[in-house]
Amino acid sequence: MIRVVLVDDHSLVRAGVKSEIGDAVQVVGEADDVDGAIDVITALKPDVVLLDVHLPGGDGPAVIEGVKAADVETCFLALSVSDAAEDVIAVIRAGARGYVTKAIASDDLIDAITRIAAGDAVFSPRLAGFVLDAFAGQMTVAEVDPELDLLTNREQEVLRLLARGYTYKDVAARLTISVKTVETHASSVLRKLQLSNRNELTRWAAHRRLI
Amino acid sequence: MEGVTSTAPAPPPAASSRSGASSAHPLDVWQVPPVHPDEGLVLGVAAGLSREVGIDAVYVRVSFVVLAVAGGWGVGLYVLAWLIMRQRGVAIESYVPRAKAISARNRHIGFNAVALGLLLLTTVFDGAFQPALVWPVALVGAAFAIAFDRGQLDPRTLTDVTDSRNVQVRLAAGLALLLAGVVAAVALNFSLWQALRSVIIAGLVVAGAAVLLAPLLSRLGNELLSERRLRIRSEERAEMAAHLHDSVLQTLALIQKRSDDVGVVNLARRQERELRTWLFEDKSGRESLGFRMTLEAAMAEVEDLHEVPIEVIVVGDRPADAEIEAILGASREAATNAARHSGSPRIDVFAEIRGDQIEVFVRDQGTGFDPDEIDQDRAGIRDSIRGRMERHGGTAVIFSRPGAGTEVELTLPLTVGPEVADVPVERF
Repeated sequence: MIRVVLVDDHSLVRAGVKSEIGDAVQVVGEADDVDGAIDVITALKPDVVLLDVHLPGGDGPAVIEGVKAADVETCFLALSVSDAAEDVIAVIRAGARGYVTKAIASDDLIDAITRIAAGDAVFSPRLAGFVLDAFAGQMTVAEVDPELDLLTNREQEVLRLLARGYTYKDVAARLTISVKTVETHASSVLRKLQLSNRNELTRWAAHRRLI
Repeated sequence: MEGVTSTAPAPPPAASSRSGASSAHPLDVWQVPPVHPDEGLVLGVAAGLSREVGIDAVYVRVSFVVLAVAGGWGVGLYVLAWLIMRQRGVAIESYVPRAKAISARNRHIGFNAVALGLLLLTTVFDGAFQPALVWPVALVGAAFAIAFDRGQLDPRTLTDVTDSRNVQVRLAAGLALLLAGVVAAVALNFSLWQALRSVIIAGLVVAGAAVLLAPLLSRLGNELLSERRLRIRSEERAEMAAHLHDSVLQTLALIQKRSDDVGVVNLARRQERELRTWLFEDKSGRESLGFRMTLEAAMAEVEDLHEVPIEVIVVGDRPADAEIEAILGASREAATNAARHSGSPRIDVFAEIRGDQIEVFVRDQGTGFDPDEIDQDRAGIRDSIRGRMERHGGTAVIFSRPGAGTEVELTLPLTVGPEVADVPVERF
């Protein structure tokens, strides 16, 4: 069974999530602030961490950094009521493998946790939209690693379909490719988002007053 | 020192004097030549005069130097000429010097005669106007001229766009001139009633420095004050947002997930949406009346009316003008249709402004229908969506299969108007 740690400063939310997913996965630990989260995750080494974007004593990205510094391998899924692009992109760039809103249906959440545990990326329509926005423009400025700076046409197609509410299976059927290939594209988009320091991202961030 | 700043000469009105020779300018009566600092060695006065008179600039420069050595008159004249000439601004391209009917030789002779005359005049006045006075006065005058020069004004916004290095250079130059003026005054006049003078001079130094710094300090103070006010306001807002975010949004999300009452769920969803709009509209960089906000508002109305959650994702933005009305209306109809007929638990709307077109996808995962066998009601809606799009040069394609949901694809080519997302942002 997949071992999960819940990080959220609202006990009510933790209880709610736990009751929703408790049958399908094993919730091994909980934390309600940044330091507590780092301690619990370092000690328990769970497969997946459900991470709230906003936490006392720092935010979601701080937890990811702290766990990285402690050299613990785990996968983060951002689970948040936040709809702000800067929060979402920040936590993804810090290393989360996906983002879902707290309004997600229980089955979808379990499915997302399973996929994160398997090393896949989880794109909600909103995250797909944010990423498209962040990479928008597609100006061919080849000053930094061009491979990291541009989404391929296929990756854009996949993101657009995800933003339209398609599941990975729908996307695969629509583009007549395998679900595995869709997953590969999604992971590659995530990697580019995490590693890219391209102009467009910077410009996008500046436009939204992230930096 | 506020009083002194307010009586300072007003900065030249940017629109008329900086951008050039408007025929209504009062200085045109005397045909004042324009001056450009890039043109000359110091401030461009000699170059400007030489262009006006039609002689080599060397003669003008030599004349100024000779007059300067003769009791400092040249410096005073130079500053005076600059003060007058700079009113005309720097639009040299559009300025036509006076037609010169006389030969070059005569022009040179004439100019040198005037210069020589001025030189003789200084010797006449030397009795009354001591070089001991002229030098300090000229230097302090130059310092004032530099201090009260407002630098570059943006002609559109009338705000100071002088870069800070320029301000520092001006300040340094002004202070140096002031100091030189004081030193000159001390050196040339020290033999006379020394004690009183040193007191007066010390007072002058302090007053002069204050006058010199006053405009800068007041501007700096104003900037700091308004910046601080803005920061406090945005901090307050961020604090409140964080609090609301953590408590209210969480609660609303919980209600939506755990309540079985559809009415309560919809109410919570509406409240969440309204709060979210208020919380995030400032920092997400959305154009307040852009396509994004307009579409989101339209979809929110449909959501409220038919009580089906609609997830709206918009990539890019552009001003909401008449051009987008067709696609907005068609999107609303498509969403309404999905909410009323499909039975889908949610509707996904994705819009993207890409280059020269807008695309909107309205998707439900409801009952779907066979496009070939649809009832009159649906055909009407389909045609009205399609008709609306086609009248505006766009297209509407409807994909549907019984049991597999419906997706409406709307495409509208754009003729004019920049994307909001492409508002130029400074690059560093």
